[in-house]
Amino acid sequence: MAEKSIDAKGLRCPQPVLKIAAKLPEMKAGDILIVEADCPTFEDDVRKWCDRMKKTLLAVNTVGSAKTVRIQF
Amino acid sequence: MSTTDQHSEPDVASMMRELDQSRAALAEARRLEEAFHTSSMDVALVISECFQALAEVRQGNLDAQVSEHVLTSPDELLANFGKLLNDTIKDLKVQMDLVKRQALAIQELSTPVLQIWNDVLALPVIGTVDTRRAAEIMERLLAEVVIRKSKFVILDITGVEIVDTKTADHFLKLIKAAALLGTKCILTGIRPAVAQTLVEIGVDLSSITTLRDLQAGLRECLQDMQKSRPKEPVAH
Repeated sequence: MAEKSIDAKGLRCPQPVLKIAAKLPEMKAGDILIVEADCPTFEDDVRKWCDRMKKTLLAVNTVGSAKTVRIQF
Repeated sequence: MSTTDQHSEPDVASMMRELDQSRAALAEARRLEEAFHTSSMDVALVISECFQALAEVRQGNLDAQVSEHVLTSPDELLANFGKLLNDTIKDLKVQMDLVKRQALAIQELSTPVLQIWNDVLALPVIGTVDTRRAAEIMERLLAEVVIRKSKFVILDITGVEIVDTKTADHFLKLIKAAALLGTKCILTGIRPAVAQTLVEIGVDLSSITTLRDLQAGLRECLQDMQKSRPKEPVAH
């Protein structure tokens, strides 16, 4: 079970989500993707994305204006 | 001949129409921004589903109904998706620039300073007035007062729905700053609900002239102008 990460700070919606989408082909079931972004709508967008793509949003951590999410594939 | 007769009647109705247009433009820009966000997220979700399908192809899990082309060249598909992704990001950047330009236009529209008569400026304030906006309003208004050498400013707050102690303080500072430049400031358009709140929270506006609406404010300015005119000698 691999763990990968994306730094999407400075990108505006929906670019962080598109970055996550681009990782899809290399993720295997059970892998974890950690994404850090500071777009204001990031958390809502990721929740929507996880619902639609049937992935599990494990955690959302906020540090200042940035949010880090852990998604299990 | 009186001052009023020398000029045409002030077209308050057309100014109110302009105000309504500004409000409508503001609402439309907000709606566009929300629509842009929703539609760009929809595009992102569709692209995600394509990547998901591609991942399934690569892992050999895809349903047998998928076309032969997809099954035989996943790398080519990946390249196409990458191009599509880049194009989409470029389009989104263009749209984001548009939204930023609209935001600037909204900012301009939200603090219009109108010359409604000789020596009379009107500043219709719409929406919420926070510290940043108060500073913008102050900067614009004082600059206009200096450029146009205006003697009167009508601060119309018909479009302000909430006035708390902080907002009232911003207005008082604005009026005092204008007074330092030799300009009389009149506050108009206080809504009944706002008046009630101001009384409840104990804001003291007794030091400034407050009138019911923009029209009353303009009338007051014209009367003041007439009083300050030197009287013509009576011919014998």
